[in-house]
Amino acid sequence: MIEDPRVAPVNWDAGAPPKTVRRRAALLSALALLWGLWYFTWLLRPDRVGNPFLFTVLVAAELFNFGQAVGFWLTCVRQPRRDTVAPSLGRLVDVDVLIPVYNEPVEVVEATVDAARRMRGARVHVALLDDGDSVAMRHMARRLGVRYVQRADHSGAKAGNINHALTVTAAAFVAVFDCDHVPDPAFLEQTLGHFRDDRVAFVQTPQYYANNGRGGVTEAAWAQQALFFGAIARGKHTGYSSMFCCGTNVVFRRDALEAVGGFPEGSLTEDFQLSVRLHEEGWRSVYVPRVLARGLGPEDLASYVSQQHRWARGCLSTIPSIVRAKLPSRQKAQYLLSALYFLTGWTVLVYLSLPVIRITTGSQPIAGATADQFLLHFGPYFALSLAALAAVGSGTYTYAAFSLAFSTFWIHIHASVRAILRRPGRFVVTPKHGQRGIQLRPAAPSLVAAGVLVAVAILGLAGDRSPATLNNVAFAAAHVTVLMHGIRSALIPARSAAVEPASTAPQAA
Amino acid sequence: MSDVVTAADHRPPVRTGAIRAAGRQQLVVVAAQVTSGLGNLMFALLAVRLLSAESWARLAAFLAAMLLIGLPAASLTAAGALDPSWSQTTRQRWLRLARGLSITLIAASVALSRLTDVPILELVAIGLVLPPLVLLALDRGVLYGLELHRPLANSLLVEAFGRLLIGGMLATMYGLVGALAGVVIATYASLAATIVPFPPPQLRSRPRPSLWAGAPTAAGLTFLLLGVLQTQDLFVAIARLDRTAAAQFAVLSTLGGAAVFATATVPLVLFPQAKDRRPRATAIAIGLTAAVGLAVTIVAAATARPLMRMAFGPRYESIAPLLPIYLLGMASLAGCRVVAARRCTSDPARLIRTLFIASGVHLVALLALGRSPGAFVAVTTVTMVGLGVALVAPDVLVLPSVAARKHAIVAVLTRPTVLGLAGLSAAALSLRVVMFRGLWVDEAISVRQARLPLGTMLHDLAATDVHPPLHHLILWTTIRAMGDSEVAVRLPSILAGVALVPLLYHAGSLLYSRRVGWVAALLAVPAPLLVWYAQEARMYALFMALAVGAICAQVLAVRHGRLRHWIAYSLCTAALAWTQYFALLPFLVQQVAFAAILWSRRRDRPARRRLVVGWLGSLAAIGVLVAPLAVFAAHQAAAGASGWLGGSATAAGVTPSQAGAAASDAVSGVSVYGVAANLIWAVWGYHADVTMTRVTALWPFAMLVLLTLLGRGWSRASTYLVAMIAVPLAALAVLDESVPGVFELRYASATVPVAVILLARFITAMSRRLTTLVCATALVGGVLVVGLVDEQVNSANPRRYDFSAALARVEHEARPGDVIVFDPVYLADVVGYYAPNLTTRPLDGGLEGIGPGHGVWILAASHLEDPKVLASQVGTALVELQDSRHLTGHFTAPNVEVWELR
Repeated sequence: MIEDPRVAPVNWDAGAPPKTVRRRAALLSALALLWGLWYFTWLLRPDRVGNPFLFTVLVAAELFNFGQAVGFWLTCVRQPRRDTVAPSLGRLVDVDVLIPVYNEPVEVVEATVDAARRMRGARVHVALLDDGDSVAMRHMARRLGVRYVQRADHSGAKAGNINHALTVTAAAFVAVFDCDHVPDPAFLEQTLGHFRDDRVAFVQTPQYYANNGRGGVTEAAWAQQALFFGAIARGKHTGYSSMFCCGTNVVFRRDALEAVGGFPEGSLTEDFQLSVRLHEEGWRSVYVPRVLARGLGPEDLASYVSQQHRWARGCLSTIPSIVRAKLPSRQKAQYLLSALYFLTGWTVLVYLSLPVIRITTGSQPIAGATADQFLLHFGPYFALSLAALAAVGSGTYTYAAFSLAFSTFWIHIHASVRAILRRPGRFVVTPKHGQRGIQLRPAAPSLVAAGVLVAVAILGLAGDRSPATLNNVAFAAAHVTVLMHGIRSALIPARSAAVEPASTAPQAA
Repeated sequence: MSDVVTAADHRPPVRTGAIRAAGRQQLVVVAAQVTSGLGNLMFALLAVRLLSAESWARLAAFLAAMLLIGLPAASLTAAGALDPSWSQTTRQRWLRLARGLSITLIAASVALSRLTDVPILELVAIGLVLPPLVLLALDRGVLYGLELHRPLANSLLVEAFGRLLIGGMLATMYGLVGALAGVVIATYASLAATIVPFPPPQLRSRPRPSLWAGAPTAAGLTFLLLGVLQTQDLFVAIARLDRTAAAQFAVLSTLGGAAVFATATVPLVLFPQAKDRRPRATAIAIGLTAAVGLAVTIVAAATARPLMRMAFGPRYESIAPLLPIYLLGMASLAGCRVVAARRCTSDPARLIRTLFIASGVHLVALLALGRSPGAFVAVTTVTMVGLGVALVAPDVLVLPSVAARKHAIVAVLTRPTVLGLAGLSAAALSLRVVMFRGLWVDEAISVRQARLPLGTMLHDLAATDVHPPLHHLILWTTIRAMGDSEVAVRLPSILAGVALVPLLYHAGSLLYSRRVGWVAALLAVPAPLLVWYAQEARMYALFMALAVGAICAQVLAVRHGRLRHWIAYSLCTAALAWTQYFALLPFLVQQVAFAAILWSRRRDRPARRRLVVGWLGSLAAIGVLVAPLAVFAAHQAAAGASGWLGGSATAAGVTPSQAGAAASDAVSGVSVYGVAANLIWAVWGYHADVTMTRVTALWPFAMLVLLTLLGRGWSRASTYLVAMIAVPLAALAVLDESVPGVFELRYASATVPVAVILLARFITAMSRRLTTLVCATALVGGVLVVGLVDEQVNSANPRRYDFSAALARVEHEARPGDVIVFDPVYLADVVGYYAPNLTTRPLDGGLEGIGPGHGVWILAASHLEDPKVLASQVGTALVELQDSRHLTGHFTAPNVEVWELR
């Protein structure tokens, strides 16, 4: 019997970092920014152009990443000086707690429902929104004494499910939890007070992966989450009032939801789209950097790919509406920054391709510069960027997180192509348990990329051993190392596999 | 609540009033002593002006004789200071003895004068002054013991200024006779001014101190032995050196004696304080002695040359560099006197045994090694510093009994850690001895210098070299003990290189964990650069070992704040400075680290205070120990002028300060590739240029390493170690702008072991699994072994010179009368080392004078200077020689090329 990790103590602090950490992060960010500018003033000169096409592609990739990095630094540099405690709302209010489910294991959901009943600070009305029409769920709801909501029409996936629930409930505030996120009894006490401000539409709290200690994909995915719900989310809220809803561990004002017509059902990231609409209507959002619910992160590569693909597809398809939205520029920039992140995979593809092209064709993007000059300008920029990332994230962002993101670059490419082609997406519930065995399918694109790089490296070494070739072989080898590290858990399953097979049934969006 | 009460809780509270009183007493007497010294100096200067040269010489001899009498008399003072009642009870006996000697001397003065060539007048004067001198010694001892410091100060002042006034006046009137009479009268006057209450009221009111019955005798014996230690070098020098050298050393001895004189009262004032176990009395005494010693040494260091010229004339100017070193030894002796005074009250037997051994060792060393004033200075300084360490050690290290010690030693030696480290050290030793290579230019130069007499060597180093002398001093000793074979001259480096294995284990364990320590020790065995410099008869291996020692000591001092850790830190740092001037760079990093730690402790007052006291104390100690080096460095700077620290000092007889600096043309100078090359050297060793270019091209792996550091956290220890690498390299990079060629890893060689620790840390941080750790360590170790093999075996390595093989073949094939012509000029020493029996000459000197019938061998080494110039010179010579000879042979050894012409 494996103990439910959601009952274990929280091992992460989402709160504001100490002053020394903030200062160090700001200093390193500023240095990285300055060195980055110096690098680009060196790079963007006509005499640097080698192969014009490759140069253009490289510069585009570099500028994109620099833009993302600058956005990241500017976001994260605006940290709260201390954690603010919400004042009391002053009255006891009714809160509808909505827990949408879709064929998840009952034991996973039961803990959530049970914890939701025990929340303090309001009159809580828990509703289990079952889109899976499960008899077991119905029995469990009856056993725990919570409302069981079922609908005849399952359209609109999670958003449709919640919208339907909104029609059958009436409390002034609505809390939403994914079925695997066990709320803390103090959840409402810590969040409702922010609604004293009538303009606040929702209060978001971190999405904490309680199973982050299981290593592999979970740990890496958690490191990515920790960076977002740590420095980034704090910065978005403190500096730009643009924290968006993340779909779970959130409390809404019903009036705000109704004002924008509920959750948008045509999006794979209904929460993100909803946030844009709410901010566009002048509502405000609040982020409480305190772990008030404990959930489960993806435990295998397939789950991670599924989750990331949905996020990428949803966010990328939201870009046109963000561009059109009548938002303050700072909020619009923040939304674009978040949505455009899912194009990063294209830049990885560029970086992976360059050594292949150099070794096979001899073409290279940069000319008129020695390796020494390149290193002088690029090396410190790279090192300072990493140092800034480490400092900003207070060490939570790991190499495993980076390699996982790097090796799943293809998700961004696939999602953006589908978004451009306007292919309909499918809402796939993130599986709650990892799978046993090797997962070749989600790892296949990375394996192909690594195979090509290895082949090209061998080809290069067989051809000549000039420093230029060796340099590109080294790049290829480094890429292969990162790729293989990222997908290693799919190829070498962990000894302690999870208990239950995952349910990955798609749901029509 | 814990009921545990520590020993510290039982310590009596420190009484600040008592501490102040102890300090005040010391200062009063030291002030009187120094003032009386000034009075004596003024009398001497006055006498020089008033008397003829001959009379002055006689007066000086008389004063020297008084000093000699004063040395054993000081032991009476010491005994009295420890136990005033002893002086009182034995006074009459000593008086009778002195009176008897006096009468005998005066009565026999005529006969003695004929026997010894000492004038009757001086003999009579000595006879007259003997009784008051003995009584003065006894009475002053009583005053010290009873802590009657004002009458004591009066006694000291009356003697000196009595001489000045009475002696000066009488000398004006009666010349030498008046001067002598003045000295004698002043001594009697001083005795009259030394009023000791009889019987002293304190003795009546106080019970007799519970001292061991023989304690006064032991104290007297102790100070007698200390007097022997202070003066025996002078007697041996007079006996063994020629007149000039003996005179030079006598000058140094005089100045050294003056330095000791300044603090001579400190141990005597300490006696009653130590006997009563007064708080901090010993610390105050040591602090005062150290401060005076530091001041004297610094002043001497700064003014040695003008002081010598002014006081003793220009012919003594050449020994000026030796003065601060000798004063350091004397300062150490002064410190020993203080520690000895303290020990007289607790463990006199061990103290006397130690002093006997030290005197014996000193005497034997003087007789064995004393061939020049420099050798005498070195032997005395080393003995005094060693004695200081030996005296302090029992206080710092609480040693158990011999049986317990034996048991503890066996237990320690059989510990798995010790056995493991011994195994690794043995492996390291084997590797460093097996993968041997011949001496190269710099080593041969060092060997040539170390073959010189000590004084000449120091003079040569001061005039022609750019490094401090510690390694040369060690090499000098090694050569005398073991000869000058390749193994012998490299033995200090080999030992330092092997010592790095346990040192790195210790450093890794201290800074991170035992696991890091083990990996660091394991990697140290094949680390190519550690092997390389352990095989070089130069200072770099010693520098690395001392740097790691200083790191360990600093960490321990900061964590525990014990005296022994601060002493170890001070000694390591000072030795580091004496090994290489670039020790300043890691030293600065360590000072910044101290400051940072102090800042982090700003809210913890006791911890902050402990750190400040230790830090300032260590700085003072380092200052004292390094002060003489400043003079040495100043001499080198003045002598080298343009050539110091990397200038083009390539004239004949001048050490090439940067020989081999451009060994890797591909990566020389300051650039990103240059930095990368230095870091690759640090970890992977020296390699052929083509290898270096290829390895440097693999820099994308560095990006990978940086990425893997994400999320691993960053400790202060890592920041400290990275600074120990980055700051020296950055400083050298900046310095390289004004001193080209100085941006070289060997000038920041502490980087290498530090890099090994960081590498070990990186490996251990990769995973907690033992299997992963073992695999990663094996992988990195394997990479290091590959680097080591390539470094040592690949003949394209521009730093690997095989003069040994090349000259062995030349020696084997050369016929009588053959001449070896070498280029560049500074191959002279290496050629001389390997081919001492052949006729050799530099190509710079031209080819004239080589008989037509003689064969000529041209030997050239690459990478030591501009290859075009070298090729041009050798080519011209070959063309010229081929007018009368034929090229009959040509062969190469790594970086050495030889042509044979007949």
